[in-house]
Amino acid sequence: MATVIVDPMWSAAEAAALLLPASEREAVLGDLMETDASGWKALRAVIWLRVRREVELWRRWQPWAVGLGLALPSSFVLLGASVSVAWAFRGVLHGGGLHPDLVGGVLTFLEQALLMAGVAWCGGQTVALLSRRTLWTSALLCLIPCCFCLSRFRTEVLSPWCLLLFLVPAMCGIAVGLRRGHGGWKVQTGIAVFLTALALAQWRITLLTLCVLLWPAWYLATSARKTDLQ
Amino acid sequence: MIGEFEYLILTAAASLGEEAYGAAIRAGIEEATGRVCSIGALYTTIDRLEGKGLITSWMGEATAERGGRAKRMVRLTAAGETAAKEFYETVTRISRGASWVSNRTVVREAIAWLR
Repeated sequence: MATVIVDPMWSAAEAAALLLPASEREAVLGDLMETDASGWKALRAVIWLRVRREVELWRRWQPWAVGLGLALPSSFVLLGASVSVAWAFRGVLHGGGLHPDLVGGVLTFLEQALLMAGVAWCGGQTVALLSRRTLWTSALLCLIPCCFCLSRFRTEVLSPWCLLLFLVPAMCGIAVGLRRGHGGWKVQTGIAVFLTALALAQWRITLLTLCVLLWPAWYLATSARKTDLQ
Repeated sequence: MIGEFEYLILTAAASLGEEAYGAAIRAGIEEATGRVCSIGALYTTIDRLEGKGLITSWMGEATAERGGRAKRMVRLTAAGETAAKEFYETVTRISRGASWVSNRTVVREAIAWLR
């Protein structure tokens, strides 16, 4: 059983060590105690180790691709997609959407909802697969556009929270990515083709936006293919 | 090829044998180099070496002086020994002809002659 130390700085070091994996926490605090490190020195060593661990993670390409190539740009696009879905849904319920007839309105809503959910799901799954240890950074990079848009979204007919609709499938995608990785390559390729077709049919978007939205779906398909071949 | 600090860790671990763990390796490096070896640098490099397959590590026994906390024991793999040997031989080879090496060789030869 670990010895209880009354030095407040040591307590702070022990609290900071909670940021480390359990086995490493044990070894590091034990080493510091064995060398009679002061509380302040122990706290500094633990924080420095945590910082170095984080820096080590960012020496790979994956966190950069996921953070700057997926979480940040996709969030902006998906915020807009969420509003489109909410708007289409409102059109189905109350009329006044893009289509005057009910069937057209429902179809538009379904297409937009499927595209938004599919892209968000694949994005979340890719984030979890590529860089699970920097999830918090990706979450932060996703949160920045969300807060920015929430603070500026002003309309009487829609709640500002409709902006965040995409977060539900995105979080489901993250959960699946963390637990199972990706599905079979046929399923993943099918999803990628379906989403590409939906995107091309639905939105008048630039090639860059298309790439930002769809690269996770195609990455998952390619990655699943590689895994199947192995 | 491995880096200088990686070599220091491998060599300290090899010298310590069965007693190679975080604090002991750190003490060994500080004693040999006269420089402070931070825990952050030590553990991130140990992880990197383990990732390269040059060492294996496991949680060892807990002792009272460590407040009942376990040690992270380290052992070199065959690949680790080869990598350290290669580094040593490279440094030795490249150092031939350097003024400080030549001087030391002269002194060593003089001592041998006096004996």
